[in-house]
Parts: sequence; structure tokens; C-alpha cells
Amino acid sequence: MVLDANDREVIEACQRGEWDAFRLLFEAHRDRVYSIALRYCGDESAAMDIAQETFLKLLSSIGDFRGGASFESWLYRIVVNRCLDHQRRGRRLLPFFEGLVDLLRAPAESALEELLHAERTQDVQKMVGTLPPEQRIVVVLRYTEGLAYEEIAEILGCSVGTVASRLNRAHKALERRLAHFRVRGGRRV
Amino acid sequence: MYKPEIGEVLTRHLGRVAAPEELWERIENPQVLARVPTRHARVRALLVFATLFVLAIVVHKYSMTPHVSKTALNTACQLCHSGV
Repeated sequence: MVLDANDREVIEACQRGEWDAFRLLFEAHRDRVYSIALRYCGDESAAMDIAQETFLKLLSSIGDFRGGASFESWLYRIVVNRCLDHQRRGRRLLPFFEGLVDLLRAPAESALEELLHAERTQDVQKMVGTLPPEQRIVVVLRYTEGLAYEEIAEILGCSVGTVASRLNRAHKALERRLAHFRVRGGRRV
Repeated sequence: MYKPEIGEVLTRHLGRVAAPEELWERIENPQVLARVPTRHARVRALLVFATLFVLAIVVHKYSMTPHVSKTALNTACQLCHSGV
């Protein structure tokens, strides 16, 4: 996660207030930011809000970024904070009502393979969504971004041991829920 | 101990996705574009509507119940007990 010369130039141009440079930075990181937001909150509209807030925060505070640090880590910290803020702002509703809404929105025929995959992804996403925020963010950074424990620890400002412990608890919880889901649903995720 | 399989499942289903094109529009014009109501907001609105609906039914039932004043009730009791 080290900046190359071109990245540095783009960031410096952003710090000078050049809009085109910001567009380049946006294009380079849009999918990363949106994916983290979506995998964390599991809702496309909320993910759009989080991604928008992240880039606006990036725009307003890029002057504070010091070249010596890793830009990606700095960006990850912004998106992680936005995700956690979003979690604090919007309390989770009763799973029953969320399930009810899903039921009403579910397509009548879900035999198509692509729909099945999307459905499975949604199931896994739902299971991840039931994890406590501190475990969920570790899972997202690990599996959506493929980050190493050390990188996650740096972003979250905690020890590598804490990251390992949270991930281990998340794995166990997800394994239990996955087993339950298989028994109930009788299908492979 | 968790099974390594869970890691594979998470890798398969939690991968990156492409951000929608309108994200840039929302960054260019943050004040113009109103926030899209989130799923939570929609469900919350549904719950508020359901509560109001139930409340309206209760109020309606109450208003349909005949109301008798205390004096009238007392009079009725006295009439019965006096054997009239």
C-alpha cells in the first residue's frame, strides 16, 4: 500500500484543489469504497450514502493528508468511520420486519441460476450483517479487500491480536449460522 | 475451531462490486441530490403507518361505543334496585 509517483502527483494536485485530479482519485477508489460500504451495511441506498460521505470527507480533508503515510490506509479509515457512524445513526430494525419486507420483494420464481447466486450472496450478506460492528468491519476488510491482519490493525487502530480474535469470533459465529441455515434451507451456500 | 470452509464462502460472496455511475453525480452536486430513502427508512415509514392505522381503528371503535353519563347510570341502577 505504498504510493507510486503518479499517485503522489494526483494527491498533490487534489490538495491544490484541482477538480480533475479529484475525479482521477475517485475513479481509482470508487469500487473499493462502495464495496466496503455495501458489504458492511448490506443496503445499496445506505452504501451510496456512505460512499458519497466518504468522498466528500476525502475532498474536504485531503489537505491534512501527509505524503509519508499510506493513502489507502487513510482512505480506509475514512470509510470505516463513515460505516461505523452510519451504524450508530440508524438503529437496526427488528429482523422480523426486515424479513417481511424481503418476502414481499422476493421474486415469485427464483429458479434462474444467476438469481440463485445473488440470493446466496444476499444470505451470506445477511449473516455478516448480524455480527457486531467491530467483528463485521474486520470481516469486510479481510474478505472484501483481502487485507492482511497487520493492515486491518493499522486501519482500526488496534493490535494484530485483537484483529485475529475478532475474526476468529466472527468465523465461529458465521460457521454456526451457516450450519443452521443449511439445515433449515437445505441448500449450499 | 472454525472450519476453513467459511473463509472460502466469505471470499466467494463478499467480493468487490462496481459502484453505480450516479455516485459521481452525487459527489459533484451533494446539495442538489436528495438522499434516497434507505431500506430502514422505508421499513420505519411502514411501521409508523401501521401504528397510525391501528390507532385510527381503536379511536373509531371507541367513538362508536355509546357513552352514558354517570348520573344516568346511577338512575338506572336505582330504578332496577327499587323494583320499578
